[in-house]
Amino acid sequence: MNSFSEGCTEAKIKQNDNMNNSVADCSLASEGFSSAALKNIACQNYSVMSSWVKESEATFSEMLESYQNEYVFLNQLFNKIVLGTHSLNTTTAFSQLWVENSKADFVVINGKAVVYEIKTDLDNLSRLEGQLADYYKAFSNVVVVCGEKNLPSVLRFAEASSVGVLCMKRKGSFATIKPYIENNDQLDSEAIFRLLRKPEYTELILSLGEDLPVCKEVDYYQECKAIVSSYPAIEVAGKAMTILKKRDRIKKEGSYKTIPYSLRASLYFSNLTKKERSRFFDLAV
Amino acid sequence: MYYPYLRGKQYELLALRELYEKKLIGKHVIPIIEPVRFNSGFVLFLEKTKRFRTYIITNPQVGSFLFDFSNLNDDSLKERLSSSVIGSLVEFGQIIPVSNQQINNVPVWIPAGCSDAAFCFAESELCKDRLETSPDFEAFIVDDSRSLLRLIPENSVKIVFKDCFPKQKKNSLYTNSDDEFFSDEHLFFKKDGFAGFSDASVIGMDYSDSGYAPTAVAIHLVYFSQNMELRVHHFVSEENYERNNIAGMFKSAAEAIPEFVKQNKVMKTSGLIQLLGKIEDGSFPGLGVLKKYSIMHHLELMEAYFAGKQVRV
Repeated sequence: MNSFSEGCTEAKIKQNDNMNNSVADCSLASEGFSSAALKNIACQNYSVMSSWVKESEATFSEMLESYQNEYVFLNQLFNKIVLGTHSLNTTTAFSQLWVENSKADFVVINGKAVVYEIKTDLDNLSRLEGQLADYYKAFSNVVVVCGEKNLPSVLRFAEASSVGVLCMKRKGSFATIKPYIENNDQLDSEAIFRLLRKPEYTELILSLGEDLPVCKEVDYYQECKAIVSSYPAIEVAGKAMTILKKRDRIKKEGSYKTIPYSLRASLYFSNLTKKERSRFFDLAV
Repeated sequence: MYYPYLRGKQYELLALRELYEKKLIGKHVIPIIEPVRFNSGFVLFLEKTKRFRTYIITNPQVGSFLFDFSNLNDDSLKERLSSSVIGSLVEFGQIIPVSNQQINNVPVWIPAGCSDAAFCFAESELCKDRLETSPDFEAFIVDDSRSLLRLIPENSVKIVFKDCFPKQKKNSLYTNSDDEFFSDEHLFFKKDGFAGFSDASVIGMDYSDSGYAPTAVAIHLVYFSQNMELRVHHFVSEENYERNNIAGMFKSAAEAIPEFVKQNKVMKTSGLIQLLGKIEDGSFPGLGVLKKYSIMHHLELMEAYFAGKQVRV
């Protein structure tokens, strides 16, 4: 398994994902950017890795020109917003974060927390309304990122609301069509609580100035939730975002600007170990 | 004899180790392990269980064992492997692969002088052609199919394999039939001319590398019914638990276990006693440990059965 496209095939078999098959070749290519593909290549020797990476760069350029799928959007957003506008020292990003019953495509937390919902020109907008409603229960700032084809319908959706609209152009640059407006009306303490893991909601309870519940381990979650839900959502949101921002520290190690452009989001959001990650950073030097 | 087939994931190895150390298996229950990772956990398992009979497969078909081994730079781990295996009661054998592709390039990872011809495992009729050309094994663990069975040389040991675990795609689906037939092989294998039988315990043969947070918790308890068939009961958490509340799901799933154990006269094995203890304390052992308890319970129950102990109390 030495070439980029073979790696893609391997990843495809491994994951057995049902990706969009209408553009079979390209959906195959995009899976080269999956965690599984990176994991496979991280244990090869450097010359194999190098040629694989070269292929990945070429594939990404092609995709940017002619097949803007979700990974293209994600990688452009990650490069422009996280590595460009902000920096990893002050910013934490998430991809595929569960918020109630929706998975947020891209979430950036620095001073503010912003959810980006990606709607490529290959996507339809049928689930958008429910997704936005879910995001506003835990986040105050929401942006829909879309392609040029979907822009008119997304705009119609966002017109009379606080949702921002960002449009990705042909070559991967972004234009802010409509800025987002902070909206705290739908925030819900329990929905925010549900974003957090056990050590995180424990920290939340303490940062609210409360004592930890004294109870059986199997009841701890419910007890903590009851405490959190008695606080105003806006206060919970502020504290929870500070805590969330500290998640996944290991992902921030290494200089992402030194590794190949096409792989930056893929490596950042992957589940690779510290050791596997370091292989990519070493490669770049 | 019962030969549970396990994949050597962390909690499966821990279950076996605890059972060996407490002398709860080893006489009538001999595990077969298809190792899925080559790491210090696996080597430690071999070191700790030298004095117990174990069957280990040298050419695993799932997981990353062979890859891990080929890419390992740590010679000390390989040395520990050799010294733990030499002079131990471990025996090595092979899987008869389904396709030719998988035969090539299997690295020899067992110490020089060790043979992997102690047994072979053929789970599918598709193995027939390859089984036909390689009959030099002492024991044959095969699917109950005529075309496979007739290839086994007359004087060799025959063990029948069947994956008895009614695996579901999602834990919540176990509620559809929460109490099911598991196996009656222990009643019939001798009469059918087998030296033993094998199954995949409460794990099943489907293998998946990835784990993700479940939306329901399921605990699988094997027990003997009145007519001495083995059944499996699935204890599943109620619907609509929040994704993060795994401990709460455990509480919900486990609630009915103490009463069920009493009603069905289930023998209090070491694994079951530990599980009941957690339920009583209201503490959550973690999903891996729950799996460990289920495996321990099933295997200890089988050892007790063959030792003539009372398995319904």
